[in-house]
Amino acid sequence: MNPYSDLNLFSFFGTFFKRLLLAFPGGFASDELQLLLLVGVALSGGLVGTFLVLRRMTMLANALSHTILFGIVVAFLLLSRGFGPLDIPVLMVSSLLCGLLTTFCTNFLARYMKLQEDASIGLVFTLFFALGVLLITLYTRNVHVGTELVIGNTDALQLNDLGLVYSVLLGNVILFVLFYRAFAVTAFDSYMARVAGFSPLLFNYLLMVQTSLTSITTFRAVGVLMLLAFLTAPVLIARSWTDRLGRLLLLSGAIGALAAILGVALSRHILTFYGLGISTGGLIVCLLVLFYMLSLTFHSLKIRLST
Amino acid sequence: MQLFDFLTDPVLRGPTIGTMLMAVSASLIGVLLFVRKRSLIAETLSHATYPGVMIAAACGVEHLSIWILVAAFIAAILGYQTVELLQQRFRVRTDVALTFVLASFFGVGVTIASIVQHTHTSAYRQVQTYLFGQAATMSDHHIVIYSLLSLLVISLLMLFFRPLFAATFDKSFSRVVGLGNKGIEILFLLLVALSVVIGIKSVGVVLLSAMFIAPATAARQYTNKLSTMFVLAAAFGASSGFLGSYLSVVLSKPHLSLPIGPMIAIVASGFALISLAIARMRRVFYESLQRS
Repeated sequence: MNPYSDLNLFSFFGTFFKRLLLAFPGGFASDELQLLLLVGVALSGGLVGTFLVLRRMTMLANALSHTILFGIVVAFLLLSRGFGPLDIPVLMVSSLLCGLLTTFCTNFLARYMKLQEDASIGLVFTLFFALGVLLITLYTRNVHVGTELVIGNTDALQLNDLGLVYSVLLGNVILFVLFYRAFAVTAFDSYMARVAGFSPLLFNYLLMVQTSLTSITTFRAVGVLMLLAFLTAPVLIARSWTDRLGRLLLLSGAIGALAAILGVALSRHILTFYGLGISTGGLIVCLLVLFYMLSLTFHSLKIRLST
Repeated sequence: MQLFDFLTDPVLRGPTIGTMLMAVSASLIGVLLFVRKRSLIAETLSHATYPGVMIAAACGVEHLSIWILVAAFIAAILGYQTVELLQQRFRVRTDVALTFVLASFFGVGVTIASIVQHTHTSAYRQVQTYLFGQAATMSDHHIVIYSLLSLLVISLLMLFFRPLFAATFDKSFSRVVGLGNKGIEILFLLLVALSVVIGIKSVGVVLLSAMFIAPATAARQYTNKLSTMFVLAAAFGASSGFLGSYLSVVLSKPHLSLPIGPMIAIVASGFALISLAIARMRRVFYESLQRS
């Protein structure tokens, strides 16, 4: 019996905190699983997204969100286990492979084939995604896996997913704390970075690997395309409130997490009162858009009042 | 089955000709985007049509496929305007604006889809094919609509070739000559939105941008002239549309139907990669000639 059935928005939080104090008796309910998982994804997304936005690499992240399908399929075929439940080592290997491959191919086309950057990104990810969909169709005989990858399915979560999300978050936090300076310098001034002895290319690859690990965690929860919202929207909102990198990182993580929490509660609320099972991932994106619009309105009002 | 039966057979000609027309208009507009270095706008706009498609399904109207065209067109224009607004008014960088609009429009679409799934189940199943494209259900009736739309794109492009050329390569020149930049930008927007809308039925929302990028990339490797590039891109586009639908039918087995969208995208990218390799070899060859 789910303790959250038939609850509205406010009693959702009441029940959540009550159960939090009791350390979740009887294990996580499905709503709690969703909430904790999405918060983890949002925090990772905010951290990685900040650097992606600063380094103008968000379209590369979009490319990655497509190529990841190819990575997963190939990893499965190499391990020849058939398409069973997705276990963690396979996901890890495939996402690492993907991050490296996407970055390498895009760089290769741009540098050696003298193709402009936007076209190289577009060419690489459409090709890999098409190959991925084709392979999936050949081996599972339906494109449903592809649809689920794009849109996500929050109802199919397991406790394992939670562990994966938080280990990736931990990894991201450790990397950013260890190499904070290097990341900051490469984000703002690649010339200065080279002088200081940090290779921007190396950090490009590192950032792409982090992005792919983060997107693999969202594979089941919200779908890879939804991750793009977590990577860009909180950063755009936070950017209009602060100029400092440290605050930008914290604020974008917090905004993403807030949207995730509200999204889960709201989708429960809507299910209770209107009987509609709305996609939680979609709802969170809508909330993020709403936040951004509010933030933009607030800022234009402030500018208008001050002049 | 003979190769050219695909153009005459009453069941096969719908998907094949429809796909080829779609590919030609996408490749032509793709050239415009390519020379402006804005290829990725196609990716954003194709995803931005998704909420439009879903709203059309939610309205439960008759002639669904036509209303989908209208709604998707409006959604694509809204998406484009949002990107412009973010860039110009709020000083958001291009790549972030494109990614944000892509993700947010698509997210709104997914939210609407999850409602439509329960309220209009059959319409939902029908429009869900727009994600990966499904040309097989195209009939002669569709061909008429799609050829009219593609002809519209092609004739607009030919009619306004000079002003578009001027606005793309020399903004100040086109202002001096008195070609309104505003009007050209609106035309540009209409052309892009139209060609995106034509494409989502057969290639699908997720892979459509391949048709804008790959033929233009391939064509660019053989010429520096814009007019030649248009012709070459159209040829590459049409042949990938044809080969893609051919392969997806030939390789399909009774219990396994290959989606046409990925097939076309793979053929088109194949053309682009081969052309890139040829251009690279030519460059290396000329460099070695110069050195000796």
